[in-house]
Amino acid sequence: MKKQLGLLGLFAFLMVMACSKSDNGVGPVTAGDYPLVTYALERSPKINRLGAGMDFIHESSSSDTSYFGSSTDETFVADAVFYNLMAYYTDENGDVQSEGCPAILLDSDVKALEVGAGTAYFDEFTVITEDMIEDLALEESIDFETCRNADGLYDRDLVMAAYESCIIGNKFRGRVLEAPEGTSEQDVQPVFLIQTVEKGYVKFMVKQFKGDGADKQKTIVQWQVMYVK
Amino acid sequence: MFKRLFVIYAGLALSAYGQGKIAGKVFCRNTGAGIMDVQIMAQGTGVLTDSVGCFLLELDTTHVPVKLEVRHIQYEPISIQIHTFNRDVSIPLEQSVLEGDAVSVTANSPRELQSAVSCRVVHKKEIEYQIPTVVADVLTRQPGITSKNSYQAPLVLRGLSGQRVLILRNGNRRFSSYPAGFMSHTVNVYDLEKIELEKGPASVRYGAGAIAGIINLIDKSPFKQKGLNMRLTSTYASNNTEKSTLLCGGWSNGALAVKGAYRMRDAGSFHYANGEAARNSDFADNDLSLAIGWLHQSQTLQLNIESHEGGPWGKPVGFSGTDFLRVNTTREDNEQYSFSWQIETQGMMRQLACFAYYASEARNLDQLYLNAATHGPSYREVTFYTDTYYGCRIEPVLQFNESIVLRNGVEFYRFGLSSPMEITDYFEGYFFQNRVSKNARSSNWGAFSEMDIKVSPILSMRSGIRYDRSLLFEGEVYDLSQEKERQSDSDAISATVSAHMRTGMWSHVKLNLARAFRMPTPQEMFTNTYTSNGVLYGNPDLNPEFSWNADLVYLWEHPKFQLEASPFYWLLENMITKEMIAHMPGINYEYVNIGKARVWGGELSGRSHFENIFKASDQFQMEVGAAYTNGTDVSGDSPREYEPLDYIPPVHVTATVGYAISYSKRLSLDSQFQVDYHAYQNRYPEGAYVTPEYVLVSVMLGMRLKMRYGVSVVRLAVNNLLNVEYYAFQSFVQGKGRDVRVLFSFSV
Repeated sequence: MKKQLGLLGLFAFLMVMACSKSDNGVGPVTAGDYPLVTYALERSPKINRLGAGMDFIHESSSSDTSYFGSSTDETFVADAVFYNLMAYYTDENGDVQSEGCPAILLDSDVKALEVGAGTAYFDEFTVITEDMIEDLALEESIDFETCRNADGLYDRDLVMAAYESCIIGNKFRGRVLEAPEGTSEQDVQPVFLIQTVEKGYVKFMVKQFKGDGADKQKTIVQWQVMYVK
Repeated sequence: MFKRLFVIYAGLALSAYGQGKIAGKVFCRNTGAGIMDVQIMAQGTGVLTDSVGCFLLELDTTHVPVKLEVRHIQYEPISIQIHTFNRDVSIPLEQSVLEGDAVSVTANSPRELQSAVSCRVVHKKEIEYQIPTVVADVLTRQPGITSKNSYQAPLVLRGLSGQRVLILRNGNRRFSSYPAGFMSHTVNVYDLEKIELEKGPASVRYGAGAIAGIINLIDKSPFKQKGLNMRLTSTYASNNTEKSTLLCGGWSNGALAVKGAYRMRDAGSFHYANGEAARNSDFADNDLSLAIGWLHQSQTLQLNIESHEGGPWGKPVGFSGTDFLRVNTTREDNEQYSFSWQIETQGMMRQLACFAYYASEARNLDQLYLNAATHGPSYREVTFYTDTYYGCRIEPVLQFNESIVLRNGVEFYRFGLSSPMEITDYFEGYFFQNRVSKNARSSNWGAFSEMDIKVSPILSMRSGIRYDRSLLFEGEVYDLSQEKERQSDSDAISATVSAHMRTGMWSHVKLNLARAFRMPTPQEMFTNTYTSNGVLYGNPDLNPEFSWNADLVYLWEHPKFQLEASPFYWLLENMITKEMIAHMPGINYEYVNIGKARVWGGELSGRSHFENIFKASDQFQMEVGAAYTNGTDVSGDSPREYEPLDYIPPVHVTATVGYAISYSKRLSLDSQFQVDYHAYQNRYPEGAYVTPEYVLVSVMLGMRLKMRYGVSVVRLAVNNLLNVEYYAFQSFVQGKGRDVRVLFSFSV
């Protein structure tokens, strides 16, 4: 009986340990067979004014992205939003200038982690380690109202500074990203592991900040679901 | 000269046995000047006259009388009977009036033969055949020329455009506020006498920008017709309900001449082949021109005034790759004044020509961005471009003897541009202005000397050299840390050596080796452009861009067949390109002089015509053309790093067959069937936008009826007859669907 109680106690202990391992719910995860999706999102801050939402694990089959303000689909819950905020500054000549400040911001229930860089890494990234899950973090939401200048306009420098606290933020942007000699943008674009609102796992990257060919006005993003709870 | 030549020719004749020889001279009845390259044909053989109009023809004396056929593109053809040999003949020719002529022009003109590179002259009649909307519609059917599917698209010659192709109007340099270069839609194409297209470097004679070649738009001369004349032309196009009315008239007594033309037109949005409208592609504009000329003995004075009032002129939705941008040129006005004085003498200075021009342009570019979510207004930028340019040229032509002609020239021109902007942010309810550039300008001086040497009756050589100096000023928008605007100066030397050899009775070979250049613009040197992708910095240390060009032309000029092959090989150095800045954080660019490119290829064209097939007054003609261009960026250190150049057009093949017939002196009919094939470009750099291959078929019909009080012309052109869905090379929007175009004109 004592032996049985001991085994039961050990089992209960292991169960508790397993459950308390993390709030993320699972240990190492090997990616399931989910399709790679690629979207071209309007990049211009003059066009993409309210952001383009991305629902990585979407219930509906219609679309996984939607420009904010247009969607009447109540099932669409954006895990991340591609913003290109129009901000202002005064140049050396005293002239007012505007500049787009692109960034990808996460929903308050979404965690993310930068895990690597480049499309090759993205393709090879199939196993989510426990450490990765452990390091996933929530993002503090930005109060954009504090980024306005005396004229009530978004101030470029304040907006850029606010992005620095973000997990993805503007790390993909051409002006921020550094490509060492001999490498291309697609070699250095960061790859992120994202835990969605539904607690699924997705690998995500901005493939090209500025698309090719007919997509020159667009930013190319790609993601692949790795695990669905 | 003529007598001397005749003595030589007569001597040659005496030495011949069994054959007779006819020597002679062909001259213009109006001016008395000898005419070069007149075709003299008899007994199935023929010759061309030399530079002073003389010819020598060997004929079989057993068949007399001999009928000599005398033809030249700019003169009325005649036939004369020769009864005796070994004598000289003088043949006067009347200048022809091409207007309304129903028979096609097929032979090469002297201008085409005299050019050191491949040259094609598109005459008024060919222009009118197509019932075009803009100049680009005419030129894109020429091998070597491409343009995107947009009225406001730059002309691309052998893969190069913008600052590397020089656009001239009556020989005077045309500038443009368009960053991509001159756009042809502001020119009244129906008021042009001809378009000269020179494919190859021409910097020695024309200065900066003539790397790939020149396109010279030439107005009708007010002296074209004597007496009082008037012409009313109307056109209509089914695809976009384009309507235009052109009224032109003139008077000349041979010494004084006045010509005026007014055109108004408007059009709705054009339609794709699937019937869908190309939204925002409507336009409207008006043109007014006036030319006054005075001809006294050997002097000609001419004043030209042109005015264009344009707008709104929209660009089709999607032209730049997004559906959320509406671009409209709400105003596009320009005025040009040009003056020319030319004198021809019999002394050593054979000709002196002076040209002066002034132009001012105002263009408002309205760019309205829509919110992708709501499709409502989001952001508006209105740029108010104003530019002014003026210049002058003096060109004396000296002839030392029959063999040496020296053409000299000095030139000055200045171009200034301002582009302030007004910006409205609808989301933030914010309106602001900025200056961008104000009076950024360049002043240029150039001087050249070009010598033509006739080495032998079959070989001519040309060599020339030119020096240019350019001063560039930043303008009144500059960094507050500066005390004054920045300025820079550049100079450039260009040169050419060419040979023109007559290799047979009908064949010529032209070889041209040249160095051409383009100057950097003030914007490339001083303006920093901020984009969300990075900053593009101007570089005040930029130097001129140079090209080393080798052009070969083989011409076969039989009276019935013409063939031209024009291969070329060009190396471009010091190319002004955008380069990523390595030592700065982020991805930023600046203009640098490190680009190198290799462009090679060629055009092949053939033309033939046959008369008297079914009737004594009919003509059948065929024309084929093909172009291939290969461009490679050779800036890298090794061939492994070389990459195909972007924007190099694919293979283009065009074929035309036509038939014209005159039923009487009153009625003539003509028809043409044309096929254009544009291949898929399979050499392109990574990330380039590539469009699929396509074939377009067009049909043209015309009728000319001479009545008691005037001449009526009715023309019909059906473009894209098969209503094919296609994209012009690297165009984001589809081309026009089937378009039935009608032209009616009445002239007295």
